[in-house]
Amino acid sequence: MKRISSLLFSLGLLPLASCQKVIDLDVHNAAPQYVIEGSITDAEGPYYLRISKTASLDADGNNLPVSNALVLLRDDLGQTDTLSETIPGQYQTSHIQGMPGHTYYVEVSADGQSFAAVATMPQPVQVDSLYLLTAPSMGKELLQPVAVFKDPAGVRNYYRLVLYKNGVANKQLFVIDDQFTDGQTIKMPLPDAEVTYTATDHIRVELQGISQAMYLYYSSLQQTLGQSSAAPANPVRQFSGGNALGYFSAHTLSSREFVVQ
Amino acid sequence: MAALLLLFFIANKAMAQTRISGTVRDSKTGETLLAATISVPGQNAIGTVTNEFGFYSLAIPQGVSTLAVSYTGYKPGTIRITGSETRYDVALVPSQELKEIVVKANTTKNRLGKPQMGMEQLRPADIKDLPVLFGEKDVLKTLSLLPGVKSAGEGNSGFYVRGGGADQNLILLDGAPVYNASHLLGFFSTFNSDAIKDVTLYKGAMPAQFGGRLSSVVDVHLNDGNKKDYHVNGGIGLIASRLSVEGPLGAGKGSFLLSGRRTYADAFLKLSNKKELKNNRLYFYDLNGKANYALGKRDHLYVSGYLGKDQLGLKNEFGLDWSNRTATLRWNHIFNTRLFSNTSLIYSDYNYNIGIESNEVDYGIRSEIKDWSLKQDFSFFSNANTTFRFGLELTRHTITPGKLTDRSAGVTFALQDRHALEGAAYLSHSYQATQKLQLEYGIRLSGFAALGAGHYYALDSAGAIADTLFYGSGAIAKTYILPEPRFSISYLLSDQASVKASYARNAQYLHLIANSTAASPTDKWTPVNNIIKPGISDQVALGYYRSIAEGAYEFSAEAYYKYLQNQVDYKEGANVFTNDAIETQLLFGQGRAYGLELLLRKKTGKFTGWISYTLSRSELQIKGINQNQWYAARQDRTHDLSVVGMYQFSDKWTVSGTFVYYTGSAVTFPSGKYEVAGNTVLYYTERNAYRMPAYHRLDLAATRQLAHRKGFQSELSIGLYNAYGRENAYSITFRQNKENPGRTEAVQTTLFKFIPSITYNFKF
Repeated sequence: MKRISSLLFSLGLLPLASCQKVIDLDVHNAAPQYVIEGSITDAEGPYYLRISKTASLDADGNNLPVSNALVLLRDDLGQTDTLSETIPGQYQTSHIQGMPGHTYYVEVSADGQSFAAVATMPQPVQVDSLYLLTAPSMGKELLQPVAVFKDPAGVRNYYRLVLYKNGVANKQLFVIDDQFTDGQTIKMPLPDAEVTYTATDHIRVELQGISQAMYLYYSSLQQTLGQSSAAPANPVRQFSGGNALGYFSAHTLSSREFVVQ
Repeated sequence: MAALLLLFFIANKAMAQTRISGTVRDSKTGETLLAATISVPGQNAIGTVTNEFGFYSLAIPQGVSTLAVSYTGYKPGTIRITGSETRYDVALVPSQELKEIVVKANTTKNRLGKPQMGMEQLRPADIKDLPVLFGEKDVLKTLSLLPGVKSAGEGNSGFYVRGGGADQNLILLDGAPVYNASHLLGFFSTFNSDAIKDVTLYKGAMPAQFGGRLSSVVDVHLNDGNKKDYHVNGGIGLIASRLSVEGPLGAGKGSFLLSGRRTYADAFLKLSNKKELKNNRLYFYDLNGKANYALGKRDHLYVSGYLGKDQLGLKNEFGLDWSNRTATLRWNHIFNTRLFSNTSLIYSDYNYNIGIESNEVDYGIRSEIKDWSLKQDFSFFSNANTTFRFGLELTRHTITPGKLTDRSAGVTFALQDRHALEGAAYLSHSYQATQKLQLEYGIRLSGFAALGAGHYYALDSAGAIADTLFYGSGAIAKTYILPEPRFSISYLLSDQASVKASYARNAQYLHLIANSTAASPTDKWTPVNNIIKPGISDQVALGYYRSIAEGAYEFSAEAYYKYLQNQVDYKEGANVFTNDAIETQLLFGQGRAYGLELLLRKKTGKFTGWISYTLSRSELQIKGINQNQWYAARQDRTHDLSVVGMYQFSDKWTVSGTFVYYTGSAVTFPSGKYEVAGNTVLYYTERNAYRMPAYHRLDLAATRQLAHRKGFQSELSIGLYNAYGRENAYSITFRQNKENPGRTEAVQTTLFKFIPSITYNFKF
C-alpha cells in the first residue's frame, strides 16, 4: 500500500506526460550522528558490529567509520564479550555464541557518548525450499526466486529475507509478519525488476527470524527509503542513551541455495 | 403578559408594511436562482436575496408599488404590486450578451451590506471559457484561482482553504457530503459542470446551518432541469466526454436532469505497443440525476442522486476502484409569507476496493464510510429587519476502516467497524440594526457520540495500549458536545464601500488519516473517540470591500487569523493501514493560520476577469514532532497569485488565459546520509524546514462558436495547459548517481508540460 503511488505511476498515464531532471539543492547539513549496525545470530560466530557517523548529503560515500570505541556484548547467562576492532569501524566478537530464546545486550561507548540496545532472539524457522518462478510483477513478467517456509502457529513471527545473487546481497528489504498467515506455509516471492537470472547464476536466500522491534525498524526503514511519506522521518529509534541511528538485531538464520540451470 | 402582546401587535401594525414572497426563476429553463436580489428602487435599506431554493420574503412599506429584481447574467426584472396579493414569482430573462449587463447599483450595495464574509460564489457560466487541464471544465478547480484557496497541486486531490488541511473542507452536493471529491487522483473533480447550477464557497464565518469541518464549506447545487422544453447537451473531448438530458415533468409542475460523463484515457493505452501498458485500466464515470415536482403552490419535492466510480488496474494483477454515491430527498414547504421550511433525507457512501492477484497471493481489501442524515431547516422572516434561521440535523456514520479477504485461503481479517452519531441544533439571527449596520449572529450546538459495538482503547503514558474496553451495539463509548458561536457584522461606509468583521468557531468530528505525499483515495476517515479529540477552530476576520465605477469593478481585502486545536499528525514509522488501534500511531497538538487576501474583479465589458493575491502562513505544533517546536504545515505557501482574464473578441470568438504563481510548499529534505542494511539512507532532522521551488504556469484557451440557431448550438474549444512548459516540481526525491554510487543527487519530477486539449460542445 506504500507503493500505491509508484504503482499508479506505472499505469502509464503519468509517464506519458512526465519528465525528470537532476537539480541542485542547498541543504543545511546537520552535525554528524552515530550509526551503529550490529547483529548476533544462531549461526556460529564471530558476529560483527559497525560504528560510523552520518556523512553530509553532498559527500562522496556514505559513512565515516568510528574507531577506538568500546563495544560490549552481554547475554542473559552472564557472559560478556568485548569486541575488537579488526577493520576501521568494524568490531567483532571473540567467543560469545548466539542462541534462540536468549536476550542480548550491547553497549557502545565512543568519544564520551554511550548507546545501549537489547534484543531477544526468537525461535528458529527453517526455509523448506527455494525455486524460480516467472510471474507478473508491476505489469511485467519477471523471473523471481520464491522462498517457501512454514510459519509456526500460535506465535507472532516476523521475518526478513535476504537475497544473494552470486554472493552479492540484493538491496531490497523483504520484510513480512504472520498477521494474516499464522500457521500457514508461506511462499514469499522476491522480485526485483532490475535483476535478471541466467544459467550458472548462484542464488541464495537467507531467512532471518527477527524480533518485533526489528520488524518495526525495517518497516519504518522501508518508509524512509521509499520517500513517499508526506512527513519523512528516520526509522524507529533502536538505541537508548543518545541519538544513534541503526540497529542491533538478534535473529535466527536459515538459508537455501541453488544454481540456475 | 397581555400588555406585551398588545405592544407587539401595535408595534407590528405601526410599521404599516406588507410582506411579499415568492420564487425567482430563469424564464427559459425554469431553474430557480440562488442569491438573486429583490430591492425597492430608491430605498437603499430595503432589499433581500433569494435562498438556495430561489425563495425570498420581503417586508415592504405601504405605498411601494414596484420592486426591482436582478441577477448577473439576466435582464433586470420588476415586480408590480397589485391589490392584496402577497405571492409574486418572478421569471428573469437571460441576457444574450452575458458580460454586457451593467450590474444594478442595488445588487452591489446588497452584497456590500451583507455581513457574510469569506464567501465566493461561482456559476458554470462564469468559468465556461476558462482553460483547464485536459479541457474538462471544473468548478472545483477554479475555486483555487480565488484568494485563500490553494490547490494541492497536479496529481493531488484536495485543496486547502486558509491554511487548513485537505480534510477540513465540507463538500456538499445538494446537501449530501461528498467524501472524496476527485477522480483519478485529483486530475478531475467529481462535479460535472453541465449539471451544476452554482457553487458557493465559505472560507470563514460559515452560517450556523453548516458545520462539521474546520476550514470551509463548498455548497454545490445541481441544476433542476429545464421545466419548459427537452434539451440535450454534451461535449466530446480528448480524454473525456459528457452528455446531459433534461426536460419537464408533469406539464410544467416539475423537471428532471440526467448527466453523465466518462473518460477513456485507457483507450490510448490500448494503442500503445508497450506490453505493460496495453492491459491497464484507467477510467472513471459519473452520473448526476435530479428530479423535482411541485405538489401545489406551497410544496415542492426534490430528489437528487450522484454515482461516480474510478477504476485503476494493472491487468489482473492489481486493481483499485473507488466510488461515491449520494442521494438526497428534499421537501420544501412554504407555510406563509414568513415561514419557509426544508426537510432533507440524505444518504452518502464512499468506498474503495483494492484487489491484488499476483504470484502466490489473492487479496481483496475494502473500506467504506456510510452516512444517513436527516435535516430540518426553518427560515422565519419576522419583520422588516429580522430573519431567523433555525433547525436540526442528525447523522448516523458507519465506517468500515478496512476488511481484508485472502481469497485463496478463504480467510477474512477486518479492522472493526466504527459507529457514531453526529448531530446539531442551530439558531441564527440576521438583523438590520440601522441603515448602515447589519448583524448576523447565531449559535450551533453540535454533538458527537462514538458508539459500539466495538473495542475502544486506553493508552498509557508511552502511547501503548494499556486496556481494551468493549462496548455493545448502540452503547455510548464517548460523547462530545460543543457550542459553536458565529458572529458577523457589516457597516456601510458609503454606497460603494463597507467594512466587515466576523468570528466563528467550528468543530470537526471526523479526521482523515493519510500518510503519503499524494492524498490517496485509500486515506481513512476516523471518527473521534475517547483518545482522539474533535478538532476545533476559532477564526476571526476583518474585511474591506469596495465597488468601483458603478459595479464594473469590485475590490475586497480580507485578513484572517485561525487557531486550531486537537490537530493530528503521525509518529515516526506509523503504520496506519493495518493497525486497528490507530490511536497508538497518532500525535496531537495545535495549529494556527493567518493571512491577507486581496481580490480585484472586473465584471462587465468585453474583457472580464480577476486578480487574486494571498499572503499567508500556516503552522503546527505537535507534541513529539520537531522537538515540540512550531513548524510550517505542509500546505504553507507564502505568496499565491492568480490572474484570470476572458476576452470576448467578437460574436463568435472568446479567448481566455490564467496565470498562476505561488511560492513553494513546505517540505522536509534530508540533512545527511548513512548506510544501513546495504542501502544508502537519508537522515532527517527538522520537519518542513525547506520549500519546494516556486510554481508558475500559464494556460490559454480559445472558444469559437460554430452553429448558433434555434434548436442547435455548438462550439469548439481548444486549450493549452502550461503554455510555456514550465517544469514545475511535482516531487523532489533523492537517489544515488548511477555512475558514481557514492554521490547522492536530487531528482525533480514534473508532471505536465504543454498539454493541449480540444473539446466539441453541443446543445439541442
